[in-house]
Amino acid sequence: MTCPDDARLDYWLDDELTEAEATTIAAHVAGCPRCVARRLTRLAEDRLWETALALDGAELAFLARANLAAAWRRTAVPVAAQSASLAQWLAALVLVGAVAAYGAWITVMPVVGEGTGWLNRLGLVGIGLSWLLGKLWGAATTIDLPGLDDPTLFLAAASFGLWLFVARPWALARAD
Amino acid sequence: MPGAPPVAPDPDVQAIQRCRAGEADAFAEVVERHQGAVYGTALRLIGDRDAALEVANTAFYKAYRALDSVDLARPLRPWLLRIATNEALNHLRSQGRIARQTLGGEAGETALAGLAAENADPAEGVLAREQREAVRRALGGLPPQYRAVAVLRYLHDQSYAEIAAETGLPTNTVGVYLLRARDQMRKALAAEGVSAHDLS
Repeated sequence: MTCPDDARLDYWLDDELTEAEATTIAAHVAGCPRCVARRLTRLAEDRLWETALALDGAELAFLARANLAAAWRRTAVPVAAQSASLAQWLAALVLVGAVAAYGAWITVMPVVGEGTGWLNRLGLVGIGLSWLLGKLWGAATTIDLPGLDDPTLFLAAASFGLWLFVARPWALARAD
Repeated sequence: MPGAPPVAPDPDVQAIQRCRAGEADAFAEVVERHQGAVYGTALRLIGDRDAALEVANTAFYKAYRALDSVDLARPLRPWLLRIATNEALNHLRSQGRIARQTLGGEAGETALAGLAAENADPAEGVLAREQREAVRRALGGLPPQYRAVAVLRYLHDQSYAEIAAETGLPTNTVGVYLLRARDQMRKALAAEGVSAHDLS
């Protein structure tokens, strides 16, 4: 057998060959002074590199001072609380989606009921304003809005309610 | 009836189960056990101890966030090292230093000088220290993918298959990268007059 090339020798020394291949190369190396020398050089390199890459005293001291574990203990947040945050985000996402859908709807269909298009385009601001005025003065406003029987508006309201009364309190309770 | 000796429960598995039950502090035990490996990987890939610490922290944080999905039947360390390796490579990419970042650069020299001056071990031979620094400079001069493979091999003694699993490279590519990494390091060390036989 001719001398294995560097790649074969590396694979052999790294124990990455099949048993049959490894046996063949081992038999060759045992009787080949050149390959014995190559093997010793590779082993010396391995030892040098392993030693050099290991954390030295100064690096270990730096790591000990940084004390990652202690820092973790100070800032750790329970996994459950993080899941709650995720639920909160999802609920908020649903809410934003519903609001966006509502916005798109009133843009495409600007005239609703007896109202005017540009007022309807005020979207949720209009809803809040209408509701507030109605509560404060019990008066009819000039803003004519879709009723609660409108599915998009209902979805927006339901999402907001879900987030405000269910997801958020639950998340806060889990965080505590 | 004599049975098999009881197997000691894996402390990582226990810690993760406690984390899943809401005991966030339990993850500190995981950090404590694996911080050397995670930090070492980041440090050897990045070459800057403060950045490596930040990367190690981020890796642990990401691991913690993904605890629900970790497979408890497998050892935790390779999974942590995979996250740390990816984080370190991302850090290098984000710094735009992939092509030019080396431990031989000015920042690297400063960092190494600081490390050497700090807590210098008087018993440690000057020759060994110089060799160590030369190897680290040579490592820092490798392309990041070669560096990652070399670090996982020489710092963590991992097989090609393990390295492949952590880096996402095909196993054969790992062998090729390692071969090239050794070749380049050999040349870099020879240029500095460092021979592996000096240690033997």
